[in-house]
Amino acid sequence: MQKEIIADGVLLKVYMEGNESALETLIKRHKSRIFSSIYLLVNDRYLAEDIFQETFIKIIHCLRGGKYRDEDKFLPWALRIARNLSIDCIRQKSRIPMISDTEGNNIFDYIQVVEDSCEKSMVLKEQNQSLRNLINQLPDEQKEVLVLRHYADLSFKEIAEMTDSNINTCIGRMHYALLNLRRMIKKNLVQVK
Amino acid sequence: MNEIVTHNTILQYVYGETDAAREILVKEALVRNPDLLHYYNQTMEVKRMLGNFAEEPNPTSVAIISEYSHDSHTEAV
Repeated sequence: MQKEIIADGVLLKVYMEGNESALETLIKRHKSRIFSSIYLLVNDRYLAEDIFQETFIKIIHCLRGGKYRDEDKFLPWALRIARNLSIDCIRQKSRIPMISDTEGNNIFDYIQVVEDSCEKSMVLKEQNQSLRNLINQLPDEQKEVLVLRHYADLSFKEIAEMTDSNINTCIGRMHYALLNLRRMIKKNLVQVK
Repeated sequence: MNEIVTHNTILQYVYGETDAAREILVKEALVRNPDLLHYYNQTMEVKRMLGNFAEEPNPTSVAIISEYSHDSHTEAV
C-alpha cells in the first residue's frame, strides 16, 4: 500500500495547530537541499550549521507570528530566508575561509560518493573539491543563481522573485556562471568526466 | 508567434523549464543551428560536471531546532 505524502502546506497548518512532529517531517524532507545551498553559498560547514539553525528559528517565528501566507510554497520561502541570512553573513566576513573540520579533514570527506575502488573515490573527491573551489571563485550573483538553480532546484522564476531581479537577468547570470566555470576548468586543467 | 531560440531558451530547456511546444522549437533549432547545438553540448557538459552535491546538517542542529520549537510552544501555552 502506497503511503500518501502529506503536502508541505498541510504540515505547516498542522504545525501551527501545535503538532511538533509536523515540523520534524518538514525538516527531514527539506534539510539536505536547504543545508547544501547554505553550505555552497558560505563555503564553511560550521557557519552553514549556524545559518541552518537560524533559518528554521526564523521560520518558526514567522509561523507563530502568522506571517506565512498560504499561497507561498514552503521550500522557496525557506530558501529565501536561508539565502538572505547567508548573504548577511558573507557581507560580515572579510574573507571566505577554507573549509576544514577540527581534524583538518577535507570537507568532502562528509560527502557520500559511489565508488568502485578507493583510488577512484580519492580522484572523485579531489575533483569535487577542485570544482567546489572553482564555484567559490564565481562572482556572488552568479554563484547564487548557480547554487539555487542547480543544487537547490528552484526555477529561474523563483530565483528572480527571491533576488528581486527579472528572469532574464537570472538566466543571464546562470549563462555567465557556466561560461566562467568552463573557462576556469580549462585553465586549471581539472579533469572531470 | 515565432519564438527565436536563444542561449537563454537553451538554459531553460536544459533545466527542464520549457513546455512541450517550446521543447519542439528548441529541438528543431538544435538541428538547424550548429552554434546553438555547440552551446547546448557545452552546457550539458558543465551541468554533468557540477553533479549532485547533497550535504546533511549535523543531527545536533536538527535537535536544537526541534527543542527550540517545543520550548517556545510550551511557553506560549
